[in-house]
Amino acid sequence: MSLIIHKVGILDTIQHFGMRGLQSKGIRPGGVMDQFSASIANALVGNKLNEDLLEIHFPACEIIFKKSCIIALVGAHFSAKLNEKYLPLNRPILIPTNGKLQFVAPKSGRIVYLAIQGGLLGQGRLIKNSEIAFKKKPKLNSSSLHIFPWSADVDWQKYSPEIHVIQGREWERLNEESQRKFCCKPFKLSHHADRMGYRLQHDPFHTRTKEEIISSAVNFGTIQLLPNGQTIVLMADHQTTGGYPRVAHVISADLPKLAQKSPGDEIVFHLTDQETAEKEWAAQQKHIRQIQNISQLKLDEFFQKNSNQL
Amino acid sequence: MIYENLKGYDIYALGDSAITIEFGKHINPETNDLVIARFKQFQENPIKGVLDLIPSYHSLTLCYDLSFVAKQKMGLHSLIDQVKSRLEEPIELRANSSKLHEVPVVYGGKNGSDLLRVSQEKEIDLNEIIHLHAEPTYRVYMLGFIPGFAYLGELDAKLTMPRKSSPQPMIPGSIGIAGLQTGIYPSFSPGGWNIIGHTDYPLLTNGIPILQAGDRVKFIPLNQL
Repeated sequence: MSLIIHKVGILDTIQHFGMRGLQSKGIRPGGVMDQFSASIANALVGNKLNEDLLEIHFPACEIIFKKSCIIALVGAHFSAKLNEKYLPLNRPILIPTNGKLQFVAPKSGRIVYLAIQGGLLGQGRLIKNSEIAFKKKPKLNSSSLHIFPWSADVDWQKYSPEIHVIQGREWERLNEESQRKFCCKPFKLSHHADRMGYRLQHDPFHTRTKEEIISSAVNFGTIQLLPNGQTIVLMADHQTTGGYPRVAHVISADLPKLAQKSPGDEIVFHLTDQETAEKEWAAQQKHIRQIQNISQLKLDEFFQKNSNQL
Repeated sequence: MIYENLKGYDIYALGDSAITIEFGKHINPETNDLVIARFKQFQENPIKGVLDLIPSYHSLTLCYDLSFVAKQKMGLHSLIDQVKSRLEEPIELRANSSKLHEVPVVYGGKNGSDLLRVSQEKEIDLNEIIHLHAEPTYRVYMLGFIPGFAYLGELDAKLTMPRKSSPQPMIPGSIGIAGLQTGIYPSFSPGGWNIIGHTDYPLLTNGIPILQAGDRVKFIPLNQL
């Protein structure tokens, strides 16, 4: 009842959905970069939405499943293959015992989530040859691959460059020209992009004042203005506090989209307000819950019909 | 942007999932007392939907569950109203009852390798630096940067040093100074502060920091140079 990390990738982890309540001690919440894709992956296999799962970057790990189980892949398209057969995204998949999963080529996106029905034990970076146990005994045992005949609608995750932001406390420090550029000019994501932050490429922004600010809290999505006029968007593994001006914040509903951007991809910031941010988030969560409900029905139906044949 | 300027404090949105209450414009013990007292108030009597509290030098941030807040009739304004009425409640400043940590320090040597340079740049005798550093009882203004890194203030102005131009690898227990601050690195990490000494005082247990915002720290020198 486990899987083996046959080969390690560059940055693959078992992720949770953020540890809360410890930021006063300087402990960051961390958690998945793209909460939307991760939740959908869990929904597709019938897990609770915030079950621990694998977060995989490219070049990705190779996995051998020692026991048959149901998985779902959601997020980046890395041309996943199971024993030489290509696997689709956004569907439940029954993996046969001893199945070998590889990701052979990055096509779009930056991070793919692999959810396993019942969840996984363990935490942190994936280590070569390590064994990761399933939390629960799989419901089925299969010696052949089965791709379920339904899929989740993840249109939400459109790869458009528009990212909505709310003004930050230090927004007014940007001079008028920089404010104008910030809002409509396309930027490119730089190669300095990891779980802590994504740096952007643009002409330096200029400020009305160079006065230092007193360090205080920052947030997932906070856009900091660095002393050289460049900007960085803080991502899931950000520190709890910071001393750079916070010119804006990416809204929560657009963080999944931003997380999936790769170096060189274009980003255009659009200003919005709290009310819109709340509505967008609520709509996204509703969409996830709908997928969860339908997935559960479909899985239950499937198990009733096929429990004898598999 | 949501921003309110009220008597004694400002409230502003830190993105769509956190708000910050700013109690002053400067770093000083009085403002930080207020931050810590309000932090304890919100910690002991949590507001529904608030997931995390982040006290800093002059502000307290409340991270909230956006799903919960978005469901409220007035959205974030409902939460802000609750926060404001909490801030109306009188508060007892408990700075003097906070925990005191006596932290033994070996100054200089291999694990305090910047002490000599500080002495040369500041033209202050080594033992005088030790005296100036160990004399005050510091306040833990906030934790941040890495788990358990405590920002302690205020350092004697005679010891003000800039950060190093590039970060160096730090070992746990390294005691650094930068600006008007001093601090202790609780774990291996890169850091830009000037390292003047080292302590074996336990700073983390099972990864959970011992020092809390609002605690006090007194350095006890173990050596003279």
